[in-house]
Amino acid sequence: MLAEIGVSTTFLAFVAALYALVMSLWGARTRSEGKVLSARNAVFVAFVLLLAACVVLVIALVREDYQISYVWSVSNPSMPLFFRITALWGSQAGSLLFWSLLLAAFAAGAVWLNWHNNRRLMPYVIAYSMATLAFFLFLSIFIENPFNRYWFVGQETLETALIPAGGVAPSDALLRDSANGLNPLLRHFGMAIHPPMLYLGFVGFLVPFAFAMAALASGDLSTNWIRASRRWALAAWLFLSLGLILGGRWAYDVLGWGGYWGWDPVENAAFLPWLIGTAFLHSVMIQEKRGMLKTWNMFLVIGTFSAVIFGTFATRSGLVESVHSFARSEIGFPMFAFWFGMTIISVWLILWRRSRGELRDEHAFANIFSRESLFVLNNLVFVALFIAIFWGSFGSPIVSELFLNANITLGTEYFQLVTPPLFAALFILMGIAPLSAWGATSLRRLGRSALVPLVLALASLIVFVLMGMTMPVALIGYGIVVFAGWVAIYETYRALMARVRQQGENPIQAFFALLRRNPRRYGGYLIHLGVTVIGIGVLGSTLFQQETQQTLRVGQSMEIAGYTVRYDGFAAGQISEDGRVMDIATLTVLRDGQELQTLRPRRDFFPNVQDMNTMTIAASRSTLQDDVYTLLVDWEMTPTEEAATFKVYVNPLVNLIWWGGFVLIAGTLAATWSGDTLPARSRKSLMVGATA
Amino acid sequence: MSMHNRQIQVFSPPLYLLRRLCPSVGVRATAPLPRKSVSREMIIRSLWVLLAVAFVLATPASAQDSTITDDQVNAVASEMYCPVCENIPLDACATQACADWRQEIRDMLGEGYTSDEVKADFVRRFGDRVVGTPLDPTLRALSVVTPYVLAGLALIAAVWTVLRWRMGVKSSAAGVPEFNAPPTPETESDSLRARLERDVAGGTGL
Repeated sequence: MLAEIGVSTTFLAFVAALYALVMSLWGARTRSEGKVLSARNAVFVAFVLLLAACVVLVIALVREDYQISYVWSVSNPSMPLFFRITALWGSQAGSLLFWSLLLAAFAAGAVWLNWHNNRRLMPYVIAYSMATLAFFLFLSIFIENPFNRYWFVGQETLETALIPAGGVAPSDALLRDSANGLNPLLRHFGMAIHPPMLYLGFVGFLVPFAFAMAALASGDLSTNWIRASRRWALAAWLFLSLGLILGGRWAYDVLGWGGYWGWDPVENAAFLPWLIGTAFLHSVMIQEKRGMLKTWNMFLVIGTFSAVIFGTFATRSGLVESVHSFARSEIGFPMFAFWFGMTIISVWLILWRRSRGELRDEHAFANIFSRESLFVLNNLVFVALFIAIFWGSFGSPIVSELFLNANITLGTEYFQLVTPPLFAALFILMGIAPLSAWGATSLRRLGRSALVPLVLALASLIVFVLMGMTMPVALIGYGIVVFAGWVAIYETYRALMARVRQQGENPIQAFFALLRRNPRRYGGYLIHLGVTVIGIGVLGSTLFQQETQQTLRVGQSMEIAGYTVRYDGFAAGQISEDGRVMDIATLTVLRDGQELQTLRPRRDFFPNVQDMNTMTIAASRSTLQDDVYTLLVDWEMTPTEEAATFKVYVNPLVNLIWWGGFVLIAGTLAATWSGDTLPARSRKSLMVGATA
Repeated sequence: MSMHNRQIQVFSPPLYLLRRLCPSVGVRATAPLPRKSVSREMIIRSLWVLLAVAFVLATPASAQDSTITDDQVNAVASEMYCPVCENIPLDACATQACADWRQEIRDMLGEGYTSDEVKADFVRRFGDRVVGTPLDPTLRALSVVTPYVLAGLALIAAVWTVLRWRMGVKSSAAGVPEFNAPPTPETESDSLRARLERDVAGGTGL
């Protein structure tokens, strides 16, 4: 029964999306308000139907309805309730349905909130968002249907949504006993948050894309589409940032290699839209303030969504090999066709409007040190990073296979060689750009503004040297990163002190007043500060990471980075509630003879899972200063020999990455606070003018 | 509950010398020695034997007992990827196949192979996918330089566009200093007002 409800609601949502697409375009063409209204209602209906479909699938997972093949493949009787629910996005079919739900939610939200202010854009916003939704629902219904069921037909087993002629359903007991269970890699708390955040980020960029396309299609090329989509773009960027950070944390906890970012193609596929999206968020300010870069902004917003679709295609099609390959399926060709078609249509629309002179800029660049020039430079660096990472992840493997008859996969070594200069350039611009002014800034003025942050950065470096840091690369890296951070702090401090002096507020009051008064600027500084903190963490954990691997007998210990790690015992074959078999070692971390913490690294084996059934679970002692990260690599338990091999990493400052993430979230929330892009005075005078 | 049976590998300079003497020592020394006249070859071999014996006698016991540590193995393995798994560094992959390959690296290091020789051997057997960047210098240079070339082209295009804009400003607005002066609040407000009025007036539809 659940399967039938799921199939029906998904199919009706598909019909509603198609209906909305047709009616919105028809309504726009015939200028029929009624048709566009009908399209709008269909958007809401599609959302409600998809919500129902997802709820049905969750109920099926919770009620252990193994007749549904998706439930059989991602759960089993021993799985706890929490992972049953998160199994909704635990494999291809469920995650596509969940993705469609989020897409419908964003589309419905955008239509609901912008209906009155942007009526002219709305038909096209509906058309583009529903075309995208209809495509994903097509995949869900015809290729990866999460409501398929197993059927015995003669000697064959079929997996289909419709009941085949002569089909007999397998017995519940048979399915229950053979249920596969969720991929062990996904049985982690982070997986409850990481994929939804990433999907929200991906899907969220649909709204700015749809508004940009609507602007191109309708001819309303003013800043309306930017104003309407700004919050959506920021929200999408926030979710994508969160998804990336949480993904790093998941990798750190689950993949067991001592790091958080492996330059895996799928990680990179999520990072690429973030890069272009970040460039867009900076560049769009130039269009708002100076009426410039209209064409460029269109390319960026379309490039961001195009990168989202390409990343989804690359992740789910098996185009590249990755640790995320559990999501592979047959949707590759349709996704490629959709991505290609969408990108071509978008670019054609931009070029068409540009050829008609409708994307002409209102101002020109006057000074290389003006803020808009520095923002353009920042955009170029983001694009260069995009090119470098795209080439390493997808370009090189594809080109080498097509033209060189070789299978070249570029790994961490390539990325560590190519990207650091570009990241350094970004941090330098992140420091300098906020000090310059819109329109024009002289080099002398810029130098004067940068003097204090530069002195503070130098003072920080002196402290680092006194603490024993002598590696030139580290000093250069830290110099650049902390300079950007000091600019953010110093600029906020100056404004804060001005308020304290003028308004008599205490610093905390003054800080929140600043955020209220100019959330974009001071939220932006908070974001920059967060990125600086992340940068400090990345540099520390990359340049100063230490590792060792040793085999110990019980009572023996190893030394690393001033720590002593003692092997205290081993418990083999522990069986947990969800059926996994755990081999657990007990280690004690000591410093200067004092016991600091007991750690239990372990190896988990999932007997009911067919592939990827073993996981190495790290145990770590975390402080702000560093992580002592331990892995159980191997063991020998015989009557004569009781030894285990451990890999131990000391990752300095790695926790700053997660803390920097929190600052970044706070900054983005503060920046999103700002609703209007027009100054209050302009709004007021315009309203007065309109009334008159 | 035994995971892997590890052999203790002794770093052996004499073994290395013997490999030079007799290529069949060491399973991966596959390149045949060039043919030379028997007498000359015998002399060279004898000299190598003498040298090897002398080295064995002269080498301190501690050096003969030194083992290849896990850290040495991981230092090489971390620069390679598992030949069969999905983009997982060889030092981190927990599969039995990767444990065996790490053992091979240990053996090779024990036989005197350098890190580069080990990597070259793996590339020969499994292809360029096992290393982070191709070992072939041309392919390596191409891989690393290409993104910079592409980014450089993008930069040139951007500079060209900016210059074109600036030239357009100079030729069309000789008496209009608007762009060179920092915008005052009034100017910005007027600009916003004008833009909004244009928005209200509307553009062309499809």
